[in-house]
This record gives sequence, C-alpha cells and structure tokens, in this order.
Amino acid sequence: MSSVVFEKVSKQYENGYVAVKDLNIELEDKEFLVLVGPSGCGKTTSLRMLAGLEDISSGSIYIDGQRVNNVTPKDRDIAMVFQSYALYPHMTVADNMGFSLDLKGVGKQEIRQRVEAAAKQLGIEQLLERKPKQLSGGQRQRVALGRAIVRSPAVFLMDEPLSNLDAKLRVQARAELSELHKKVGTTFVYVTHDQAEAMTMGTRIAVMNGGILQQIDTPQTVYEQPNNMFVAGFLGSPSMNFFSAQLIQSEGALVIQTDGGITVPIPAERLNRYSEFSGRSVVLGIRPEGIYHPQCVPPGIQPASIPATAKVVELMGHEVIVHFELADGTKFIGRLDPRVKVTPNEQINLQFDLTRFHLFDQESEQVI
Amino acid sequence: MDSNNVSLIFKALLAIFLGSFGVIGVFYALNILVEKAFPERARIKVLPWIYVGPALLLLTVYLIIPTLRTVYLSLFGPSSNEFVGLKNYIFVLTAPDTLTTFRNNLLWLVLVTGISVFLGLIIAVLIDRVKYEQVAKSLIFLPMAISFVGASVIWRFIYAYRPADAEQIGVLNAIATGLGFEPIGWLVNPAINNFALIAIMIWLQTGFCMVLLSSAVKGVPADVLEAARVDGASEVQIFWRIIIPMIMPTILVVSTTVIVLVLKVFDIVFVMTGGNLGTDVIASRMIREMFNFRNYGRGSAIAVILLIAVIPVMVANIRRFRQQELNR
Repeated sequence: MSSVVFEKVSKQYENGYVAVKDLNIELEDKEFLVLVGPSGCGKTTSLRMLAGLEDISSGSIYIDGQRVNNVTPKDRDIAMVFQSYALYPHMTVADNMGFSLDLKGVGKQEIRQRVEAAAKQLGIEQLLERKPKQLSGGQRQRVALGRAIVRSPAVFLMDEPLSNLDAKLRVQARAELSELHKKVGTTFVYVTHDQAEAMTMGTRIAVMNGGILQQIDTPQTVYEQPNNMFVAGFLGSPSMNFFSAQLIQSEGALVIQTDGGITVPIPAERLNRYSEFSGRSVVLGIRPEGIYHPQCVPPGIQPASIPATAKVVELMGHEVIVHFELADGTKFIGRLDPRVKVTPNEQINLQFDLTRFHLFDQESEQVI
Repeated sequence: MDSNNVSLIFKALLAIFLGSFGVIGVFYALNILVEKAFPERARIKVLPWIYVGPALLLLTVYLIIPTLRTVYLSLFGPSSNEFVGLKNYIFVLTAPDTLTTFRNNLLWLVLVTGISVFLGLIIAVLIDRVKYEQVAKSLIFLPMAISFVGASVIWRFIYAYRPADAEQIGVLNAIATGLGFEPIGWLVNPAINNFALIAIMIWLQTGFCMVLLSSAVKGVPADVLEAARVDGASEVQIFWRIIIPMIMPTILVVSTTVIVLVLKVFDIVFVMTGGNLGTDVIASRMIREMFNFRNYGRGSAIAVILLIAVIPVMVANIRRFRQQELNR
C-alpha cells in the first residue's frame, strides 16, 4: 500500500518565485502518474518535494497517510531515478545498486542476491562488475532503474529518465518501463516534458503549467476532453488548431462564426450545452486529425465544409501533414490520409469533423 | 626619486622586454633558419628540437649538471679535494644531529600534510554552504600569498617571549599571561618548538589545499549527492563514501604537492630558530653544513638524500597524472 497525496502544496523560492501553486493530487496505490508540462511548469519541483529534496513552502504531502513534510528523503521509503542517472562513478554497477541496502545494514549475501535478481530483471547481469564510465547510455539508464528496484520502495520517482536516450531506445525503454510498473506493482510518479511518454505510460496524467495543475485524468480523457486551451494545445502533435470566433444566433440556429469568416453550425446534441453562451467570444479548437480531405471522409463523422488552400505539404509516410491557409490568411494544420495527393497551392474543400471539436471561452480560455 | 632608482627601473623594464621578446625572437629566427636550411622531410624532424632545445639546454645547465656535481661532491671531503667514498653518507645517517633533522622532517611531513589536507578538506566542504563563500575563501587563502620568510617574521611576533615581569608583545603570550599563566617560550622549549614551527607551515598551506579541494568538491554533481540522500545516506556517510572517493585523485595530488614542499622546507626554520634547539630539518642542516661549517661533502650528501626522498613522491605524482589523463 502506498498512496501519495499532495494537499494544497506550494513552493515559493527565496527570491519570491512561485514554482508550484496550490497543488492537489491524490494518488492511489499502484498508479502510474505522469507529471507533464513545458519546462518551468513546476513538475520537477513537485517531484523533488515528494522526494524530500526540496522544502515545501506550504501545504502537506502524505505518503501512505503519513505526513512527510519534515521527513528526510531516506526515511520516506522512496527511490528516485534521475535524468542524469546520477550513478556513483567510483562504484561498480553492483555496488551502485546495493548502496542503499548496504546503508540499511542488509547482509552482504542478501544484497548480492537482490542485486542479481534486479539485474536479471533488467538484463544487465553481465555488467555488474563494470564501472558506470564503461557503460553506454542505455545501460546506465538500466543501472539507475536497477538501483531503484533493488530497494523495493513504496514509491518510484522518475525525473525524465529517458530524455538522455536516443529516439529508438526511448521507444523501447518506454514499453519496458510500463512493463516494469506492472511487474513491481508499486506507485510510480514520473516527470516528463514529452507528451508521447505521458500518453503511453501513465495510468493518469497531470498536466501542469506555470506551477498550476491544469488537469489530471486518464490520458484518453485529457486528450479528448481537455479542460482548457493550454491542455488542448499541449497534448497532441501537431497541436490543436485554434480559431477565434463568435457564438451567434443566425437564422434561428446557433452557429460558430470564426473571425476568418467560416460559419460552422452547432450540432444538435451540443445545442443545450452551448445555448447559454450565445453571443460570447469563443475559440474553436479542432485537432489536425479532425480535418479530412473530401475524398477520404470516413463514415460516422459530421462533416462541415471549409474551403482552404494547401501551403506546405509534409509527407511523413503514414500520414501527410498539410499547412493550410484560409481566405483571410488564418493558418492551421491538417493531418490527412497519405493516399490522396495534395499539392501546394491547391484549393481543397476540407471537411471538419463536428463530432470532435472543442469550444473555449476566449477570455478565460476554459472549455465551455 | 633619485636617478639611481630611475635607472634601476629602466634596467628592469629593459630586462623584461629583452627577456620576453628576445625569447620570441630566438624561436622565430631559429624557425626561419630551419625552414631555409633543411629539406622538407628533415625539417619535420628538426623543428621540434628547435622548440624543445632551449628548455632542455637550460634544464641541463641549471638542474642536471648541478645535480651530478652535487653527487660527485658528496663523495669528497669538506673542501672537495680528498675522496672519502661513502663516509659523508655514513656520518649523515648516523650522527645524532642529522638524525634529529630526519626525525623533525618526518614530523613535519606527517603533521603538515595530514593536518593541512584534512583541514583544507573540511573547510572546502563546509565553505560550500557558507553565504559569503568567496570572502571566506579569500581570507583562508590569503596566507598563500605571503612568502615563507614573510610569514616567519609575522609569526615571530606571535610567538614573541618576554620574561614574566615584562610586558608581553607576543599575541600568544599576551593571552597566556592575561589568563594568568606563565609566558611560554614557544620557540625555545624543545617539547613544543617544532610544533610551533609546523603550525606556521599549516597556516600557509591550508588555503592552498582548501582551494584545490574546494573546486574538486564542487565538481561532485549535485544529483549524485541527492541520489545518495534518497538512497539513505546521512551527510557524514555521503562525505566518506561519496565525496572522498570521488575527489580522491585531487586529494592525492594535493598531498604529494604538500609533501614535496615540506621535504624542502627551510626558510621557516632558518628565520625562526636558525635550526637550533632541536628544530633543524634536512634542508636547513644542508645549508648550515655548506655555509656555516664549510663542509661541502656533508652538505652535498644531505642534498642527495633529500633528492632521493623526493623522487618517489614525484614519480607517484607523475604516474597518477598520466593515469588521470588516460581516464579522461
């Protein structure tokens, strides 16, 4: 059992800078929480406060129901994997992994057993007598993981552990980490700025910005039902297109009229939801994958025709990323099926999927 | 300012000018000479010697020849005209006077190296957490800027002794009498005078150790220390099991540097006690044998022994340096 609770946690540095503001998170046992956000959003600070490496300015952090604000890192029963791995350069891999057990006074025999078991799990048995200097980046990353696993801690903390790996290794390590989480069955708190890592590994993800928690939910919910424009724009690549618009009554129907002159009717099932906002300035958000070429419209969507000019065409192989421009110069991006050929400067009657659009209040940037 | 001084300053400037630009000129001229005089293939082989040559020549004239000559002289009598074999060495290694110098040097070696490196290390670690680090560091480093002779003059005042009924001008004895004790003869009491001298060297060297060790301590990455903290290490355990092993190469280099310096110590003893009252060390003994007692044979024999004592330390230092370069 290892639950983690952040209760109104804030961090203000001596120079007055507020890194984290009023953070509330409740984590149940065996969750894999990913803290994600741009750099400087407070995610690493939050993790370091949980680790005990950073003081908490106000609020409380509980691990297993015990308030740990004044508990030293070593007494929190946590293990941490650092971005730089932070291996002890003068110790062998085996000594690196067994260091915490040795400090706890565990016998040599048992340390050896546990280190070997962990090494086997990670496939690094043959490296145990080497020094960190003699290892590749991927191997070091495994040793850093091994050092955490050996202790069987209550909570695993990871601070961008994959960011120093090359792209291919990272994809592989991502899957391995998810598998490891299932195997060890402990709570993981993972910090990253990489949305792919967040989407693929987290059981829940917490999106942070400017020290404030924006949304915390399952990856799917956060992606499909973002709370605000920041979350909507942060997750997804290429990111969501935004069009500033007005919500107005036109000929008896509620429509969205963008500043660029496109008019999109509100589908019947959302009328109730938006009717009270009639007359407001809003932002229409639609993801690049919600935009279709007229020749490739799948069944089950509610298409709305929008004429646009293709400007830049990027063929990715499995998809085509096309930069479009509306008549008034508004730019947006579509992710199209690679089977239809799009040439630059071509006029296309694009189809926007009205089952998957988002409306935000222009002033508060919150979803409506 | 009288004309004498002006001409002195002028001469000094001229010397600096000639020294700096003369050397550049010599290299430049030699380079042209080689390029003109040798075919291209030979040039590549000759050119390095043109640049290394002057340094080798100077080292040979001022270091190697004197060393060989000293070894030679050590096999002769006081005025270098009768061959005495190893007699000088036997004397030096058996006479009570010189044995005292060896004992003292050993005492210096252990205490100065041990204490200044240890203090330097402690200060380096502690100072890392002080607010006015640069100021504190500068203060501790300051003695390094003072010559050994200058430091000795300062410490003569600190150790100054006046009879009990006179007014004390030495800081230590002023404190001692102020507290109601008898004044202490710091430099004349054989039980403590060696330690009094050693303290000066420690005062001079701690700053040097601290500065080098401090940069090594700062070189230990913060996240390695944090990893150790999360792993459950106390600050003391982090110091002994993480910081010390990680900065060991620097500790060894600093230690050997101090060891060589201590082996050669002379000025402090010479100024403070002149090597009397059981405070003689090898180097001061050597000077006394040579210039006070006019015994070139014995003086040279002591010099050779000193040289032999320094060699292993230097070899160890160079080896370690090479090892470090390899590990880069």
